[in-house]
Amino acid sequence: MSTKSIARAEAFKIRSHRTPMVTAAVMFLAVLAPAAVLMFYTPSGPSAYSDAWSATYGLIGPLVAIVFGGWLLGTEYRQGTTKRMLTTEPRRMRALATKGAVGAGVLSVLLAATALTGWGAAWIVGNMNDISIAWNGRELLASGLFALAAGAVSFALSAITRSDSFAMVGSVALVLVLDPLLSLIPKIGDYTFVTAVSTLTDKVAGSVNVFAGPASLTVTSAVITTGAWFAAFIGGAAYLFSTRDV
Amino acid sequence: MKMLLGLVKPTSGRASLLGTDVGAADFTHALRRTGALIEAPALYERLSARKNLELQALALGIAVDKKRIDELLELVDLSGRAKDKAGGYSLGMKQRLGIAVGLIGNPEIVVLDEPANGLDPAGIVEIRELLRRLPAMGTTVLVSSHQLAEVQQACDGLVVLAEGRLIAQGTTEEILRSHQTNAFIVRVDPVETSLIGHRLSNLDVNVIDEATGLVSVSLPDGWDGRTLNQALVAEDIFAFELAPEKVSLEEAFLTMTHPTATPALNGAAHVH
Repeated sequence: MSTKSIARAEAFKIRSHRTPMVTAAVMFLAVLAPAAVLMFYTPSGPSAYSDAWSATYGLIGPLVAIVFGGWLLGTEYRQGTTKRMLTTEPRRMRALATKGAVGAGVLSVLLAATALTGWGAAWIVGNMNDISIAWNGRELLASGLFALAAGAVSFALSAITRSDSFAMVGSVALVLVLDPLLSLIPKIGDYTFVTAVSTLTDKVAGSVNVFAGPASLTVTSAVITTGAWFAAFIGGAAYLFSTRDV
Repeated sequence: MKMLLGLVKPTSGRASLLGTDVGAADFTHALRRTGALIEAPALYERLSARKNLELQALALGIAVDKKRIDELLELVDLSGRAKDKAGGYSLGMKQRLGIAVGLIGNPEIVVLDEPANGLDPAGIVEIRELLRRLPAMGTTVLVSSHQLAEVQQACDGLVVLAEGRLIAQGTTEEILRSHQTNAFIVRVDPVETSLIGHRLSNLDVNVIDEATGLVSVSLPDGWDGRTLNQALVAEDIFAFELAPEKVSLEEAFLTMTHPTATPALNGAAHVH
């Protein structure tokens, strides 16, 4: 069993299942919906054409990534197919890494495609109203990277909890509940997952994340903190996946 | 079984599959020559039978054409439902598809853990017939099962384990023969059941069912069915039926694991 054949099988699974297709469709609809609305209503200002969909992209992207990331491995546990997966590729670290890499690749393509689609739709509708729409690649890249980070956490949690639903709920809870709670604690609040990742994505975007607020960490501290969070999630997932009985 | 496939790590000792130690560097190659169905069939329920097979071929990195998939679907009798989602199949169909998934790579050995678990009688017969066809295709089938009647009918060789220890190994015939007693089941007129024990006092006679005149007679060395029949006739007892008592695998297993148990004679009266 080569890594290539396992990767092709993983891509086949993604293509053949409903959850990835539905989440992709939701993502496309989400970025197209603002443009559809602006075809019939005149916005208050020219920035609304791009702001409306890029905000949607920034919000829906991480949610779609969490669903997809949790589904990717969690569905194997739910269906009892981890046994089949690991009797086909017994090198567990390789199996997990291949699955994660294929998932990250597919998610990246989806995020890029929806970014282009959303911008394209805004550009067309804007031009219909004689408004020029600027391409804000850095902001889109930052939103995409944040979504990928959220997806990675969900993927890791699915390996740790051996459940797709726990992974998805856990990831949302981490971002929406645990992070805000931790941020209430002085000093410690600066080192939450969202704060650390947002500090880096703000740097990429060249602007401040509207949800996370202004960065409180230096870039170096943010890199170290983000690395520590990923080491905990991905390292924990890899350790448990490779050592647990199936 | 899971340990053999590398799904469970041994706490001590070692296991090997097709001559390769589990977890060794080339264990992947041993698994490549192995098909498996452990406990419940591991199927992608939203995919059809055909897609499940295509996916497994893809994961194994083997080129499988439509003809090979058609052959496998035919073998497991799922040709008519090949395009239906596996989630809608009966348990028996899922088990058969699970076996087909295990066979896609033309394995040398197929490891099946309780393949007939939870199946109705028709499903059990289907699995048994499927298992019997595999050796003719050059595939060894290793089955783990508690359904000993099924094992007796389907398997050529047995390994009997009790509480994690090997207690017997050999062909099914050898193991059954080693537990075979020189006993006969005799059916006589119900009124004569008690007479046999009294008139043939040198024999060990157990009344199995007085109402139907069924008795079990253990013969001494040198006796056979003909000798027994002659002895009965000499005592004016004429048997309707007389046949060697067959030991089932279940009885042999219980004798091996619980030597004091005699399940065939449970509830039987003992007459001398």
